[in-house]
Amino acid sequence: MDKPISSNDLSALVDVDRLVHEPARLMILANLYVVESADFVFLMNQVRLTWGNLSAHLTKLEEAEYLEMEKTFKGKRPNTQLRLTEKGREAFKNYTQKMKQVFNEITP
Amino acid sequence: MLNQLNLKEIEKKAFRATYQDGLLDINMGGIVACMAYMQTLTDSEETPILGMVVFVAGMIASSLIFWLGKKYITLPRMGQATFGTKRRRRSRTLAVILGIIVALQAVVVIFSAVVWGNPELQSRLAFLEGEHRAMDLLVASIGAMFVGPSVALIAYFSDFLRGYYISLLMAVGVFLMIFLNQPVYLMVCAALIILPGIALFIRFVLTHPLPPAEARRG
Repeated sequence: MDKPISSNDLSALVDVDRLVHEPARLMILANLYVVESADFVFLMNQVRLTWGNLSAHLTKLEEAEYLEMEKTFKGKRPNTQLRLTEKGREAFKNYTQKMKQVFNEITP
Repeated sequence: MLNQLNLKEIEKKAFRATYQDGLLDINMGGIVACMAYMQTLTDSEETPILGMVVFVAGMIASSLIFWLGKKYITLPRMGQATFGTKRRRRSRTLAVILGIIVALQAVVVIFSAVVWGNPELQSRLAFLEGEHRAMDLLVASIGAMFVGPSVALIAYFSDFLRGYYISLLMAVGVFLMIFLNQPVYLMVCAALIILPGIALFIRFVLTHPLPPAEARRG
């Protein structure tokens, strides 16, 4: 369970989910969060990563059980469907809430 | 970074990406062209059956270009996503609204047929008799008011921004076609819808090469 951030206490930043915090993975999660499911090519076009780079990030997210990958065939073409798990959705939601809170604490 | 994380915008961008190939523009333009062609049929009564066959073939061809283009050209390059319940709700609302519009159009058509077949009702509308320009203006306005807002509603509910431009063109085209009894205006509108669609399609194919087989496998 993540610690709530108290006023003038940014030490909770240490606790942010680093798997989500990485910019490329954050974009992947954000793009999958707003859809029910998407295939690999669609996601690749949205986040503008190369297939190798995207594949590496997806593997990490799959290992953390943040997303499910389903490999099927559409006709003769291979197709990889991606979907965030409940755990992944929850992790993304927690992360965005925590970061919003942190940035609200920082007043320039 | 959080500034870039506007989820609504990300969802909109992803959804609107499905229109970037221009195929829907080409499809809609094709339908408008067929409507214009239909008007030429009512003007010249030569070979009406052949004309109808050409009209139906045109409608089928524009739908086939859309579906086959999506299946074999666009989707392998762009990929596919399933959007959430909010989008599905919007589609259902659009279907209901379009159903109501079609029902209203049917009422107008039936009303017109009843008036034509009923001398008593015709005499009540006699104030328009002899006023051909006024009658043409009325019919053209009704036609434009049905077509323009219907397409604008489709654009709104399906988040298809170019649909507003198409709705304007269609309303103007239908109005001029009926008022001036010249299908050429609607044909010009069809061309103004199809040509940007073709340009978008070419741009899409050039900027979206087929991804490597590894990418499809993930």
